[in-house]
Amino acid sequence: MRVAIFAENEKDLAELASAASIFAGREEMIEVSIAGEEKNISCCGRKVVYKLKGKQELNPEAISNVLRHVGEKYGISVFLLSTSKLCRAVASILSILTDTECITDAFDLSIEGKDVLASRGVFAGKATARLRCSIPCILTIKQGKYNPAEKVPCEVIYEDFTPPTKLNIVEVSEPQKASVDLKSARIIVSVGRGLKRKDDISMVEELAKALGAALGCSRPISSDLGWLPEEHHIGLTGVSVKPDLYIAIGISGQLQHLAGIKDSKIIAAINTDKSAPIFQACDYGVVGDMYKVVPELVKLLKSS
Amino acid sequence: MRIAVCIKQAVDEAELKFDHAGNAILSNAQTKLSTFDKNAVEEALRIKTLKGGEVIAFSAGNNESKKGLKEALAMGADRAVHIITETYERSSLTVSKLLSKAIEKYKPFDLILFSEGSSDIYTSLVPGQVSTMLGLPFIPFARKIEVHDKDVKVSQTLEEKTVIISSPLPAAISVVSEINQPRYPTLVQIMQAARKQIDEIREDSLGVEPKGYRVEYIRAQSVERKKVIFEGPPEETARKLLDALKREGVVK
Ligand SMILES: Cc1cc2nc3c(=O)[nH]c(=O)nc-3n(C[C@H](O)[C@H](O)[C@H](O)COP(=O)(O)OP(=O)(O)OC[C@H]3O[C@@H](n4cnc5c(N)ncnc54)[C@H](O)[C@@H]3O)c2cc1C
Ligand SMILES: Nc1ncnc2c1ncn2[C@@H]1O[C@H](COP(=O)(O)O)[C@@H](O)[C@H]1O
Repeated sequence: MRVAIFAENEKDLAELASAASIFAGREEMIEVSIAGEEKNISCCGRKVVYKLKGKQELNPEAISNVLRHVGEKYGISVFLLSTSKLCRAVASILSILTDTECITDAFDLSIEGKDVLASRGVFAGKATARLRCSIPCILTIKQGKYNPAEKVPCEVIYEDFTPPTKLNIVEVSEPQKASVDLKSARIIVSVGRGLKRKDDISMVEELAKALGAALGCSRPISSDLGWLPEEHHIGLTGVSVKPDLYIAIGISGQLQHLAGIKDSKIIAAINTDKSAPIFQACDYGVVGDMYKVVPELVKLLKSS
Repeated sequence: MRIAVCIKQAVDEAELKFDHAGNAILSNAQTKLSTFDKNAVEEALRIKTLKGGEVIAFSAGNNESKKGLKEALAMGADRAVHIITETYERSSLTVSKLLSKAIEKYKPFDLILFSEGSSDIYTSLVPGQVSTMLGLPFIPFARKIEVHDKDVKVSQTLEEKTVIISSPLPAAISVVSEINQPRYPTLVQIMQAARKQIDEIREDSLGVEPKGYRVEYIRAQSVERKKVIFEGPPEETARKLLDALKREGVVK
């Protein structure tokens, strides 16, 4: 069986190749690249390279048509994509273009006859669904669930194909490159709506610095208020993390936030409201005002 | 401008219960209008205010879906269409086929709106699937929509980038919750909505063969936490917390 993998970054590609190994050996795996030019090194036996003009590398419609092209030309049975926003959109379009079934956020893959079985979190992470779907299929793989495969030299094939699309990418603004790597952080200090002003982030940053921690936040802090860049946003619709220590400060602990921090070894929380759900989901909780407790923690850490 | 907005009556995750074996109890589970779908309705209404026209809400689901459609009507949607399914559990592919067939019956539309993902299963599949079946360009994760006469300009946030995309109309768009603040209908509006029409279409009349993933089981995800709570003056609780974290070996 042939598998094609597609993701926007190297790390995700390496995880996809690892997940793909239940379907096919390396020689039967194809990495799809839309970068135009590529080095002959990959986790897959072959790399098929397309050149998309005019920022079309961010156009889900164009990418789905590229993948359909790969599918037809190379006889692909399974497409594995990352779970980024772009890839989810690509998967949904591709599933119709190829009339195949699709599961997003999949992990724990196994094959049973002509079916693939996959798990995914549902009900904001309160439950796990085990789903069955027949091959051929499209899967987007949850990040951080597979150990990255190794890269070795591969064959590179250049394709000349211009995907049809009605969309026009007008502008792409890239925020400064991420200074935060939440996925591999050992300690994360995370802040929520308990924060009163944007400027007060410095207080939380000071604690993060004293602990050698990365700074995260709940969705409202980044998405609604724009007080921190999107890449700090943790949870169902943001990053999933698994640090040794996660400290939730002024975060109520809604299911959608908890969905992203479940795999943390220890969860600590600081919240004024004793009945906040975070206290049912943490190992150590302080009922108190972050504006008093956080400076106190910084003081203790600095003096020790 | 004719706008279709797709909304789902979702199982309320906060109220979801499990049986002794840990299986989710979905029959008669409490439901709510999928959280972000209110943003999709709001956006449809906002665009209608600017451009005039009509907003029609579509929902596929069992009887519970009537509740969500009534909410959309109370918010200000003009009409509603209920695609009646036997059970709540349908794969995204099946739901998408039902929705696109139903939307076809009410053509033409200039815009079809969705939310980024449903609050119960959040597959983010239905919007792109329906759009593609209807042959429309699809723009996901919109946080700002600017509608012109012949085209639409959308600002979209991906993980690290903000992208501005334009598309000719008709087009399909999924919105994120930050795009607007959904209105709360007044009591009067809720009462008026009760008189607005909800068309019914039975799923078996649409000729859709169920396809897509099948559910083997849905089980509780449980993680036990220690839940040690400290209360008292900040100097004291801060010290207790740090001591505990040091004992755990996660802080040096
Ligand atoms: C489909 C869907 C997906 C979502 N995805 C995500 C996601 O990925 N990530 C995410 O975070 N959210 C997500 N959400 C939103 C989520 O449901 C919550 O709304 C959000 O997590 C709440 O953020 P918060 O805890 O910061 O704010 P709030 O819920 O407003 O909580 C603020 C907390 O701060 C406490 N507080 C106030 N003042 C102080 C003080 N001085 N000191 C200490 N504590 C104080 C309050 O007691 C309260 O508990 C999603 C929602 C939906 C519907
Ligand atoms: N059964 C349904 N009826 C109407 N709209 C739906 C249905 N399921 C999903 N949608 C729409 O598709 C969006 C994404 O849902 P999902 O693909 O389930 O994450 C929802 O926010 C709705 O706008």
